[in-house]
Amino acid sequence: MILRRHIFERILGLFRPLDRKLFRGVRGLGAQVIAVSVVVACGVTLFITMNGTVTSLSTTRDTYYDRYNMAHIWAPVKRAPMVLRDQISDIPGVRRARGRISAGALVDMPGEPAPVRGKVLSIPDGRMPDVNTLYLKRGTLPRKGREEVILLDSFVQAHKLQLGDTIPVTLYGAKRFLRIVGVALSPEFVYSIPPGELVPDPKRNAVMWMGYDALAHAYNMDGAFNEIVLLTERGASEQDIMRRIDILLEPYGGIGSYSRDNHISDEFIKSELTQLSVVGSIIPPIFLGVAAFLLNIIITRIVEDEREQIGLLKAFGYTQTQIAMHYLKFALIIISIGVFLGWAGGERMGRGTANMYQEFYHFPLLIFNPGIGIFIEATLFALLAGVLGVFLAVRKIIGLRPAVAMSPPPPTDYSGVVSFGGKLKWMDQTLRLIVRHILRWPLRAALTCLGISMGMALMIGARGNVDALDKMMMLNFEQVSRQDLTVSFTETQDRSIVNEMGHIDGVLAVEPFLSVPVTLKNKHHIRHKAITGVVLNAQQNLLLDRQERQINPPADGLVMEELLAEALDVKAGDTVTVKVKTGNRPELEVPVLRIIKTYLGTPVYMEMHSLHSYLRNGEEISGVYLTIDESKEDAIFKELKDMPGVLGVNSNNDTYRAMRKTMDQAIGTMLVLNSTFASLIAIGVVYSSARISFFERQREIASLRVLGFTLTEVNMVLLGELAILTVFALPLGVGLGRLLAQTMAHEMSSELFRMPSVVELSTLGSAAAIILIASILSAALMSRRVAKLDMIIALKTKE
Amino acid sequence: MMRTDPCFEVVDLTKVYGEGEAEVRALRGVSLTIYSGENIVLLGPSGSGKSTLLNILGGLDSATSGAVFFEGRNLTEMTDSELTQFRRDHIGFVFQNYNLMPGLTAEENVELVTEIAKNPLPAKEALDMVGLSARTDHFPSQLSGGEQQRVAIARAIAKRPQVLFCDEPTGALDSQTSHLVLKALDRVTKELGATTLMVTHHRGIAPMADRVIRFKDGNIDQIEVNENPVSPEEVVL
Ligand SMILES: Nc1ncnc2c1ncn2[C@@H]1O[C@H](COP(=O)(O)OP(=O)(O)OP(=O)(O)O)[C@@H](O)[C@H]1O
Ligand SMILES: [Mg+2]
Repeated sequence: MILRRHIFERILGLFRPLDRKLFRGVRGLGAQVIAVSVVVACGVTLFITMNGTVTSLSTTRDTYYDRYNMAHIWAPVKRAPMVLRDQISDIPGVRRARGRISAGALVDMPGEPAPVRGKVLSIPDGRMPDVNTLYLKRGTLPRKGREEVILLDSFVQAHKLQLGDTIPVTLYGAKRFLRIVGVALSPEFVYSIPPGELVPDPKRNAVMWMGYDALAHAYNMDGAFNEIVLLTERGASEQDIMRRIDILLEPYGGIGSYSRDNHISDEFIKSELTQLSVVGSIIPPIFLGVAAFLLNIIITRIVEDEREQIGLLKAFGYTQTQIAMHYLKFALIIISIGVFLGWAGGERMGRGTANMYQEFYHFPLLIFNPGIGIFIEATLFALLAGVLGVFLAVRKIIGLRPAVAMSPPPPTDYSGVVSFGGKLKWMDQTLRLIVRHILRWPLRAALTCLGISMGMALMIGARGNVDALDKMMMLNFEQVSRQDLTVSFTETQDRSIVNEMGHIDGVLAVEPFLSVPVTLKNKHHIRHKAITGVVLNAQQNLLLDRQERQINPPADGLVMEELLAEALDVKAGDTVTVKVKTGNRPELEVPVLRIIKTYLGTPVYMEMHSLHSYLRNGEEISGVYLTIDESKEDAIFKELKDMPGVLGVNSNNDTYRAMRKTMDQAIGTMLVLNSTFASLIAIGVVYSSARISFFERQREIASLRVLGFTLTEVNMVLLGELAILTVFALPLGVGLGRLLAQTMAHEMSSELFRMPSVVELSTLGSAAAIILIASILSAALMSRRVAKLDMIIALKTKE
Repeated sequence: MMRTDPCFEVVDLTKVYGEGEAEVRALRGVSLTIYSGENIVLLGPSGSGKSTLLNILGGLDSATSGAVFFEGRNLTEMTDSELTQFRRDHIGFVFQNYNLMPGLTAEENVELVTEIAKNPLPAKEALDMVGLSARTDHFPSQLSGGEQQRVAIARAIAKRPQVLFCDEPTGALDSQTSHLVLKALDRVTKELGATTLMVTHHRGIAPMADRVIRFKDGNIDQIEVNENPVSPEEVVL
């Protein structure tokens, strides 16, 4: 110990005297330096992780899209001759257009309860497609005319398939055994989400690529295509191109082209990027702000302590800047420790995050590569926090005239406090000391209070997000989707099937639904959606607004989600053009009768009878919801699977479990990290405040001890202030936390989903508990110091 | 001078600060008896151990060896809370640096002590005794040094302490103000019959004492007895 100090002093000998004092100071502060550094480190870590992930993810995406020719526009059509493709290529602004076949298929995988809905896409025979190029991980391209496929990597992995295996695929009504010759990733399926679902389920998302000849033969599409994919020239107007394509394809059953904005995989990536940037731009600044505040109170104390020394330095001829620089250096040492830790933390956490994203987003390679810029930015922010903290602390004292600064500090002036604190005669001495001390530095007390509540707010914000997702899930699985099973049909069926289903042993209730793919148009706004036909007073799949009230759609019109209405620029009472994509493809003018708010997707509803009469297609339905006797589930599954025309059977419980798993994985780690960081902040602030208050008042405390006050009584004075500030911080923290949760929920919302801003009571409770524990721990540490306080040293004039 | 019961009995008291090379022997076997009602002045060069002795007698610091008996009870064997109780019940302190609570008014500073004392003077009365009845509602920052010191005296005597320790109470004051403070001290100690032990650098104060103890190198060098102590007014500073 003595030797260590000796070495330390030797090293110090190398520096200028003023700097030596500096290092001794840093050493003497111990725990507080750690507290500030940790908070800075947390801020820097989060900044680098969040923003670095955004950069990495978006560069990876952009490079991938660019190198693998991700299409700019997709244009589905019923059936068009290949020659049409050349006309589309000639549209100005089109760089490269390709016609392909996109065929729906059913894959009957062993181990899956129902056939998996899949998709077979054509690729040119013997060549890699030059739009939506595949990243071939293993294997080869299919040979011309053979029933060979390249399969999406995630599906292969989920089912542990091998090259050379065959899979049973029902294509155009006929069952075929397709041989797997290659395994690939595609820029179109980075986020592979099964059609109509919300979470990725690699097991149930079968995407295959087959040579054009073989697929055209199997799908009866010789010499034709049913989808155009194209790349545009840089700077070309996608809107113009899409309009012209739609005109060209219209006679062939074109149902409207769409761009990347409406491409589900890309939409999910974008939404993720938005969320990350929101978190990355809200949370780290809070940490750095708190760090600035902590530094400020530390430096303020030091500066006040060294008041005479500052006067002396000025008397010697040091300039204000020199003196300010001295304290700035001090802050920079502390900040640097935090920044270095943060760099390391950010790099590590960023890599972890990238690995996690690699599980959800299928890029050929996703590495955490934030770029040096992010590190520099993070560092600059941290330094700014330091400068701010120091500047506010030294501003007043370095302006004092040397003579004033050098004379012993006058007793703290509390006279001003009386004016707004009153005489406080009704209080006892202890309380009076506490209250006057708070009122004497109202700004600092307020900042301390704010700092504590910020820590609490962060905890609430972090957990609040999870609460919101939980709430969304709860709402979806307990209020909206009350059915046990969802049965969907390959083609729409006559409503009479409802009775048939009702007779299956174990089925307790049947509710039909109809889903009609349409293009909604108002002025130049277009959206591809499906109108859902719902029964009145539904019992199994309810239409709810955000207040969880059941909505019964009015007759003869649409009920539309608010965001969709905004996108289409319609209000209740307006009329939209509905182009139906199935059956006789009527084009209808339909009034929008009601705008609603929901959490998931941007749905459009219509009362089923009205929808039927609009379509003039009989009483057709797309599927049914079933409530069943759970003990007979297996038998029901089997019976449904063998029923002709049944496309798939989904168990609500399975979906719930899958979703839960995805969420827990994705959110779990983040949550733990965020809460840990938030707790660190809270503890840092509480501890530092207590410590400062102790330093500031140790003379007072020593005096009280000399006068015969007991430890308990003295602790009351010291810790009472902490207690009062904590008590005020709690409600403030709740308020700020809610605000933070609300802001984040709002900022993160997209057309895919809106986050409710709910904060569970348990979240508030645990945040408050952590704050209280931090306070109690800090209080305990402080009262140990009080017990050990050397009265004589404390009473002497300051060193 | 009347000899009454011994108030403090100090037996072979030593105090060593630090260890090894940094060792300082502040007290080197001091033995002394202080009688109730006595008024003692402690003189001696800087660093000779005066404050150290005062601090140990007042229960602010512990001794390295030896014993201090206060009314037969050995202070050096007391626990921390017993020492606290001892200070609370019997001792008043006045320091060179006043050590008032900046957050409390003059009156409140005195009340700080009267609140926890068994048989205190009313705070106003204590302030009156030091001639500060007009400044009761002032905060320390609004008082001059001499006034602050007089508040400190009022605070020290308000509990009617048996013993009053003053460590250079006039150290920071000019001679005129010092007179005021000494007068206040003299008056209250006479009225309360307290035993006082005052450390000072002003030789001129010595004639006020019943006994003058001179300190040197951590021990008593010499003790003078004043048969006729003078009043504060006669003191030449
Ligand atoms: N806390 C301490 N640690 C180490 N040494 C100390 C400590 N307090 C006092 N000393 C030393 O003990 C010796 C006696 O100190 P003390 O304060 O009793 O002297 P004093 O007679 O009151 O001096 P002054 O007249 O200057 O106040 C001095 O040499 C001093 O340096
Ligand atoms: Mg001394």
